[in-house]
Amino acid sequence: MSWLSYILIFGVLAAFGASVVWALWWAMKGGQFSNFQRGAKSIFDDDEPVGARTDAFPDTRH
Amino acid sequence: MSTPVLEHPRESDRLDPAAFADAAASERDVAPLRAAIDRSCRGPVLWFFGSAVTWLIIGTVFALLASIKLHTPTFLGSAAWLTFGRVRPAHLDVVAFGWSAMAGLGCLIWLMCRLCRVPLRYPGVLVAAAVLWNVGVASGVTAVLAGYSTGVEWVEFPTWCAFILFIGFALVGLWGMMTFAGRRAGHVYVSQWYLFAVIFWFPWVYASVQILVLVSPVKGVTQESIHWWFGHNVLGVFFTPIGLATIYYLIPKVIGRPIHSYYLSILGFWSLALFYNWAGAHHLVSGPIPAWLVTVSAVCSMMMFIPVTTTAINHHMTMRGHFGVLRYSPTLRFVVFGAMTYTVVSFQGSLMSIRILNEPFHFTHHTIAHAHLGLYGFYTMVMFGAMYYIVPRLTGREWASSKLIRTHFWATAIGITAMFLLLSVGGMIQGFEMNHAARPLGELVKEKGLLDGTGEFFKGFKMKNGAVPFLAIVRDTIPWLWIRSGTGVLMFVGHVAFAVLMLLNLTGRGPKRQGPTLFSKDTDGYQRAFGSEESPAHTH
Amino acid sequence: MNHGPLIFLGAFLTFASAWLGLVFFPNQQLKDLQPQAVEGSAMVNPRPYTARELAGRDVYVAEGCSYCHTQQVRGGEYNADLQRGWGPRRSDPQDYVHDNPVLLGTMRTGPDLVNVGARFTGEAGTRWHYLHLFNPQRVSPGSTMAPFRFLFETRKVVGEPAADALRFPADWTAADGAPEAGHEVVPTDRARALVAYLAALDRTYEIAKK
Repeated sequence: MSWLSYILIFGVLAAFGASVVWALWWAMKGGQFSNFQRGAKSIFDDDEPVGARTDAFPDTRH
Repeated sequence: MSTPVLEHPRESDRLDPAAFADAAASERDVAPLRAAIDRSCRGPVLWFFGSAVTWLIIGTVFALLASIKLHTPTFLGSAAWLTFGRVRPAHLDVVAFGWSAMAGLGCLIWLMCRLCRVPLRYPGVLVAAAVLWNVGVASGVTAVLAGYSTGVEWVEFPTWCAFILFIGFALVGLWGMMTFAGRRAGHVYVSQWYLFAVIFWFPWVYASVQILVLVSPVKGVTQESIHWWFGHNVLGVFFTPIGLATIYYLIPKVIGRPIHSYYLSILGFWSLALFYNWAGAHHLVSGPIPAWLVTVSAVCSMMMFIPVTTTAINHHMTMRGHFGVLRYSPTLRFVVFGAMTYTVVSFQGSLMSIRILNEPFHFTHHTIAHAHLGLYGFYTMVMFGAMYYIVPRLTGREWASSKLIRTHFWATAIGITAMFLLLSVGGMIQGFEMNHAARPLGELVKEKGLLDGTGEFFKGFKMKNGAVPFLAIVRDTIPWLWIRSGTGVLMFVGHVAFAVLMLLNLTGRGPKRQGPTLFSKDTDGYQRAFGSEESPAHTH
Repeated sequence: MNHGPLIFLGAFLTFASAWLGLVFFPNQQLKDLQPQAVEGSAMVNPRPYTARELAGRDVYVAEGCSYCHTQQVRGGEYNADLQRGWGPRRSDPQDYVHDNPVLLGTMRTGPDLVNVGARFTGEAGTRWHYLHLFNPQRVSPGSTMAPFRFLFETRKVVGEPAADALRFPADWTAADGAPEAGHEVVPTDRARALVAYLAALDRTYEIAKK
């Protein structure tokens, strides 16, 4: 493996690694690790609230 | 009411995403916003899903050909382009890069829009990605059948085809990052962590294997270490994360209940990310590679018990008390089947990387059965479930026939379960006989008392040095291969049912969905399962 | 949070570590592996492939032989690779220094082939391979190997029969592929190359202690 390949591969690896680190820092800053209830409920809203099922076989509806 | 009421999602064709820019307004407008998001996803996601289902049918045909040729090698035996050694990798690459990848990318796109709470922008970029991906897979498979495979399993496509796939993937990745940057304020859901892992790390592993094994190959057996680091990462940083992201979103959405422990899901993500990557060399146990490499991969394969158990607990506790919904939701059936299978296949995989458990099963059909349980029993079933949920929301049309859905589910669920169990037995027989050169299996069975042991079933005969002759192993495996072909036909029936359903839905046949969310509540059973509270869809 | 720097380091190592472990370090360990010299001669073990053998390896790759055949002897107590006569010793990384791609294989629908060149030798071995590739079911009853008849050509004998025309046993019929009178079956260049490659698969040399 040539030196160029080494530099390229390690460079990309470092870049990706750094992006992971940045992502974790950003998530912490945004409080993602401190409010898990908010996280779990974030996919619900007034229209599809907690408690409402959202899928059924087609002929169970008219 | 000042909010726009949408009778049919198709009327939101010209809905301007800017209309939802006002955060306060969007709080009142969740239903129309969701309809707008789903409507905007229609073109790109259906490009991916439609292509995926087409590849699924093609891939299943190749699968049947390969399966038949294993017990009946003279079947279509004179055509060079259909020889087992070409048709088998064609099957693998079509179901992996055609069906699995495109289904997954379609889910990724829709999940990203839903979780960012913005309609899809730059659909042209994604359609271009889908077209490129189709071109890459079609040309790659053609090359393999024509005899131009690279000879590296999972990476058989010539590098120029892989390059086309790479560009297509990069387009989706860039789109994902741009969409995320433009997201509506609010929490980042755990599924998005998994999707970003895919976006960032799959191009890296794909480029690495292309460069280090094909373009500028490293010397000797290190190629195989890199090869299987990649091979396992196709599961670890592409299919598994998309599958888990989908499960984490759809189970709560369908049953209407948040994930039991959101904390566990984050822990699961990070432990998966740490350990999954290291497991690759468990494909090379007892192989001619440094022993430390195999040991480290076996250790990390066992450590995978942590994220897998975490995930299993999470899914089960979320579903607890709601298993009744399985009777009424096609999506939930497929997704829960997949989620349970994920636990089983992961535990099996972890155990099989221990040397003493690996030796009898390595190089046998047992491994093939395991691979299918993972990629089909887990990932493909989850993708089916996702499509059942997503497609009606994109097209505004309900599925045309419950009967076909049930056919699809039972044919594939029974098919993969039977295939896994029975092919594993065949593989065990193959492996035990291959590893016992001293005595025929029938004698061993009688001695060790594994069965009631008449030994009749395992009629072996002794060679000069007492080994089970190789052709006896072949003979003993064949009945199980016939059974596997049968299960394959069953799965094919399921796929045809699904393809018909997709075709009907995409070409406009099927009852219209009612409003941005879906319900009416006119049947007793439905009311019992779904509760009798006023459906939110009727309040505007 | 005060654990910031530790978490950051952990996150970096999380993703980067596997690449280091499965890609970088193995390569560092093995990249300078050379074939070993044979005492008192210019030969090395394993010897490099000839051009024809390399062409044969391309055929092996194109026809997907790896999907049924491995090229690695495991050794050790829990399997029977050595008892089956697949090699005198376990396979070693040195055995693969000339291989590109390395064709370790993952399935044993058929036997291991890393030392097949030591089991089927010389002209007799070559002729066995031709017949076996032409009609595996007839040569090995019960075999499920794919027939590779398309690697051969049936043609009219012109003058003398070809030197490497297949020599069919007397009990083979037309259904088995035996040619009619005045015709012969000859291997194509691809078949010749493939069999040359198979004959070169011999890693039975003893590994010198380092």
